[in-house]
Amino acid sequence: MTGKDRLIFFFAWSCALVTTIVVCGLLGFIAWQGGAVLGPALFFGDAPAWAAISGQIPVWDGIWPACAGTLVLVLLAAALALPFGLGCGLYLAVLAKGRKKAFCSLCINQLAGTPSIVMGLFGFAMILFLRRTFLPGANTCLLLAGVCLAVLILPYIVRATQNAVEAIPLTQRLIGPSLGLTLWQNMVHCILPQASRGILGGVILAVGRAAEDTAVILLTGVVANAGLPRGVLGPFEALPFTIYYLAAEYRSQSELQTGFGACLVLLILSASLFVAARWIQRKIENTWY
Amino acid sequence: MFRRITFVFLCLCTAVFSLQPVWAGSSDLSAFDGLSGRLTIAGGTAHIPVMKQAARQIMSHNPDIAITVAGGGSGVGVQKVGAGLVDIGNTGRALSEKERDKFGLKSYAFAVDGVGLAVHPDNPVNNLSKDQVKGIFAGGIGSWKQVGGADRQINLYTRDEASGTRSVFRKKALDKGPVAVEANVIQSNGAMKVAISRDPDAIGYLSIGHMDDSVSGVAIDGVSPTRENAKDGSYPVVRKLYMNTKGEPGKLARAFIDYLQGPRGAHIVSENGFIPAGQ
Repeated sequence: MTGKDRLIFFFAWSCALVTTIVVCGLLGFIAWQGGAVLGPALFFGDAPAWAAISGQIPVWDGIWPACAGTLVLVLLAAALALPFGLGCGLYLAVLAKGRKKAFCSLCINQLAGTPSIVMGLFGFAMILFLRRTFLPGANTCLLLAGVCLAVLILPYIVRATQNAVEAIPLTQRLIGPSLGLTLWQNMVHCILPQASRGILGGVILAVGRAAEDTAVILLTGVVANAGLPRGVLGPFEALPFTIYYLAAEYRSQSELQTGFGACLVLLILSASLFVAARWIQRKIENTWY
Repeated sequence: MFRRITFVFLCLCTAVFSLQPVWAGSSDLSAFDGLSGRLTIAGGTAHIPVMKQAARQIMSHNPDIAITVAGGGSGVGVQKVGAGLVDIGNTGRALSEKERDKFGLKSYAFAVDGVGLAVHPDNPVNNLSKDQVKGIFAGGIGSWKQVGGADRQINLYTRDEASGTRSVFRKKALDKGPVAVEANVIQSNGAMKVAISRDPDAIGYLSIGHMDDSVSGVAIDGVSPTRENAKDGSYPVVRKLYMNTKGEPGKLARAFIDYLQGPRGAHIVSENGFIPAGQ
């Protein structure tokens, strides 16, 4: 190795080390702080667990309604964003050419660079517009927050799909058409299965982003107490808002501890989504290959 | 023996009767009897604990009422109540003339919150003149030695531009004077308390309701930032917390406002570190 080789080796190696240390340190800190309060009381306060889980009695001091709200919200946002993201990604990777592709790419980049608070304001403005025009009863709700979050995570799914499809060698992408498969058959049987790993990676990123975002839901329907979500047109609680609110306004050490507990739960929630996605990925590979 | 029993009985009766006012207070909740429906509240984050506790009591008393409390800050509170998205919009400041006229809002104060200067508990400085405070925050006074402390640099802490606490502190303690650009910007009362309690050279300001033993309050011109002083009006850096409604409040909103302005509401307000507005 020359001196320069050694330098770049050392630089890359130490960067990787620093990143790992930072991530482990952060996780360790949250686990240490939040782990102390992890227990039934963190979730349900002084309410009996089973009655609280089933929503028979309201939970006042626990984060259970926020957990349920976050889960529903994330699933809703992902379900709304997935078809559009997939379709747009496929269009960019397979069908679009020249100027149309450049323009569409520009739009996606623009969307990816939009701060989440702008998305929240957009949702808020949309509700105001609806109220003034043809839906006077419209109000901020779970559906609105889901739609705004879906717009926020759309670029992640589009880019992931596009990159995953473009990463497939051209020869493989052309096998289908050369055997006489239609566009649809080629997409469903050749391109999507091969790109599924990359797409799922993007979906996981997107879901993680949706789970942690506070600014969007702040203006579009999250509240400090709503109980379990009762429908897509009602208010809801969510973990990021609970954490934000506890971090901003805690008055006692125990409230701050609850905040750390909520952080830990959010991390665990994201991690389980990740694991679930991996499991689905493996399932897909087993069936399709 | 019999006498003693009679005596104990009489004592018990006296105790029960002296407790009567506390029980009579619970009749406040009877205002919600027969009411039902949803009451939505949004706005200032500082209001949330009070609102939540009131909601909890009311909803436990009458399960037909559903009260939701959201945050967002004072600005969002005004916008949301103005647009009719919520029944009550909370603000940590008085409404501007423009806001009041534009949306036809009515304000109801329910609590007073003081904003106090604080330093690390080890810092011997416990009183500053107003000019010294202005000098410190403008950056002109850079050492604790200049105001009677150790020969160390002053570390300034301030709140972000959107903070209601910042706006009241700047207006009433600094007479709208400047805050040095070197000041560390903190996002919340809780974070301010932690920052000051961990930095021996720190000075910053936070809601009196948030102050505890981990920080040491600094008097301005001899008046300490305590709840008592804020209550009797001798401590000047105070703000009111408001609930705002668009036009006349509905039945449920009216009952809620009355409840928070009443004796039980005052109790909740004090428990959360604020001063009931009526006192």
